[in-house]
Amino acid sequence: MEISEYKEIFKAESEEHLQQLNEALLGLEQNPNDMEYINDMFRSAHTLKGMSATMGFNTIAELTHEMENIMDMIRKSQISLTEKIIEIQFECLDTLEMLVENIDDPDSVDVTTLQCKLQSIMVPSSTAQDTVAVPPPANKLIPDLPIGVDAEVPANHSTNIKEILPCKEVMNKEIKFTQEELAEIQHARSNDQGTFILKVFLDESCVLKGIRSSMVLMNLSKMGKIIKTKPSEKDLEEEKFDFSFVVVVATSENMGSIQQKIENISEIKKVELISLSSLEKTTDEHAEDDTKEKSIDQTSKSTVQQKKNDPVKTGQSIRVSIERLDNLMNLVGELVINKIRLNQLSTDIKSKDLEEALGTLDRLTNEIQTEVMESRMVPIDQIFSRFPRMVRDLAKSEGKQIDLVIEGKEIELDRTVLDEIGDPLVHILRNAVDHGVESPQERTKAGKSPEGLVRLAASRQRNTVLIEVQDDGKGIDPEKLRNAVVKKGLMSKEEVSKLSDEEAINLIFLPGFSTNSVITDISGRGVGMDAAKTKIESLGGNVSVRSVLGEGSIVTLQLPLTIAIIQSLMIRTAGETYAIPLNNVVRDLGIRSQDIKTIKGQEVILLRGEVLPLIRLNSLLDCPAEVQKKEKLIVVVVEKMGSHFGFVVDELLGQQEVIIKSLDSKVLRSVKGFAGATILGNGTVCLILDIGTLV
Amino acid sequence: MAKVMIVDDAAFMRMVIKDILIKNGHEVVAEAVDGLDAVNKYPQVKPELVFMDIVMPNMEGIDALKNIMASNPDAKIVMCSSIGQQSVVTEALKLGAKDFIVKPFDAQKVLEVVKKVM
Repeated sequence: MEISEYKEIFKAESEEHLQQLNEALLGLEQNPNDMEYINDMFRSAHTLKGMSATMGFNTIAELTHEMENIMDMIRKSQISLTEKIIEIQFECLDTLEMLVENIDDPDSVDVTTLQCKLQSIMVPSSTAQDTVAVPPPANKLIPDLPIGVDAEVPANHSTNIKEILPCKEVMNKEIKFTQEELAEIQHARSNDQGTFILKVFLDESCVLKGIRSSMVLMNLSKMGKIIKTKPSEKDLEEEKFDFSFVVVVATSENMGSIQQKIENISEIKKVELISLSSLEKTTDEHAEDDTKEKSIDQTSKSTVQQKKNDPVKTGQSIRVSIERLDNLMNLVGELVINKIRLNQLSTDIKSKDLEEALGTLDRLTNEIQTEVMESRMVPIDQIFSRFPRMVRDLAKSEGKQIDLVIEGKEIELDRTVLDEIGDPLVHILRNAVDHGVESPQERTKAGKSPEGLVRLAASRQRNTVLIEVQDDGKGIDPEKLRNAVVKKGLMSKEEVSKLSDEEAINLIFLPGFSTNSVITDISGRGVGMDAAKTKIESLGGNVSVRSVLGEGSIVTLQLPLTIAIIQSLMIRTAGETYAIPLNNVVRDLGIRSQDIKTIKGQEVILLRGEVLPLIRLNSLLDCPAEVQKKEKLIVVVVEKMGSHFGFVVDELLGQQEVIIKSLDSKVLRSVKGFAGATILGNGTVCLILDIGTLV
Repeated sequence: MAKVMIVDDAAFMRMVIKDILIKNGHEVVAEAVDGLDAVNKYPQVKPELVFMDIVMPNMEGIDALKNIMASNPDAKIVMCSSIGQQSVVTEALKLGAKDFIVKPFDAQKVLEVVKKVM
């Protein structure tokens, strides 16, 4: 596997963990006593640490290590959770996000101040912890013993065995025995056990020396009794030694087998050992081996811990890059085009067998198409999940209290659609927080609860997904909007007065418009709503806003489930073929030209008592009009945000699925009214009308 | 050549170990995403060796170890530790884990552990 592939997966998985951390931290902020959040954070930080260390991303590893430590300390009640800690943790997450984002250039992210802050959380209590740590009980040392006492014994209360033992290496360091230890040696002897002094050398690359040494001790204690270690077992555990240590063990096993068993432990470079045979015999009854019993005892205590009732995740999924899915989608598109072409050809060749085969092909292509589309669907939570944090930060910086309610986060959308709606939603949510919800004081004055409500809800309606952003703030004043629009010279007073209140409210989507006289750094200058609208419409969706003054507003986004393949009604006007997305089509009807009435210069027709404005598609598209007046006209009724329009067209060609090829070039993108183009079965290119921007 | 099961909640970490093992002729017979998954899969695939992460959702590595060891006393389980988890690793070793490796994983170390434990 290439390092770049690792990196890709690392990034994707890191982002997931950062998201989880963000969510948990938000949860923790709400419920500071909920251990589950702390545990979740600990776990995610820990996993990230391991992953980043593996990749050699040390800064990430260090930061996550400290996060993990802090969580651990909170978990163990060594420090208490404060607002400041949460704040710093949020900061830490932001920095981590940046680091993951700029994974190839970690130096571009400055982490020094953050590290200082993290340290400041831990330092006071970690020293406190140190003071708590109990100093090792001083070994009771006893006066000289009669074993080859050297004249140069450095400490009074110990015995130097340097001289007794012939071994060079091991004995370079002094080993002093207490009386109890000597007694144990004697006792072992009386039981026909030999006593050995081992010098164990660890690999210099060994990381957890403490555990490695305790593994050695564990193995040795299975063979016999450990009498002494140098340094002490506690120092070994705390890694207070270089790469070698000495163990004295009493066992009935022979030297070779001890050596082999210890050297078979990982990361053990070599073992030197000698037999301690020249000790005098003394007797002691107390040497008892309890180490073994203890370990057995603990095994029997094993319990099954099973948390949560979540179904067990099985590893039955793989990661596929978006690019691959896009390619697959494109190929399916081509397949569909070819299928249509084949269908057309088959009408010329009348063959039952061919028709049957084509029928099967039809079904299979449909299935493949559905499968590929399904595989591109992702839960909307992927973008919703980042909003709680954003709203929290916004509310905090504005001194507002906001409760963000998210609904329908399991609703699925095509990956491409999802990728595109993030920014628009950010703008809309920011507007809700910034312009919608009032400050707590204002709210209290207005008789509302000081905490504002922002609701972000997704729901599925047939082939579209509705996203609503609702706030219970001050609402939009249509009159104010009318005045502002006139003042800014965007529309004339007369034009504005014609608008209904509902239409006036939708003026917030007018390019370059903001109602807030104070420009905040949050919603900027109101360009957001315009940009949001354009973006959503380019996806074949719609945006509208409803508002009740003093009670709040709802911005509604209507989005197609997928934008890759759509069902379209094919029509012809002025000699050109166009596709109208079927989502927008209400019905088609034939009318007589004498039924057309004119209201204020607008052609309309009465349809079941309702006035339907008519639009001559050819003149709308600026195509040469038909010369002769036709007696019968064909009208396609389309819907745009609840209002109906009738397009007068020349011919209906039928319903067909088309693959959207986006108009990507800079020149074409600025052309309004088209959602894209498609290739028809006969190979010709046809434009797809975008009702949202066309009328 | 050993038949190995890898237990880790991070797909990334599983992949790292898997790559090391496969490149050196070992076989990864199963991957488990948490302790519970490991306990369920162990009797099905009967791996000769298990690499067990410690910190995982649903069931932590140490509990999975206890659980597997309880019904398979001969199970060969190697703990995958990070720095800072010494006490858990020590406990795991007492409970019967055969060895441990430390993140970030070094291919040589992983292979040494497989060789020595098998």
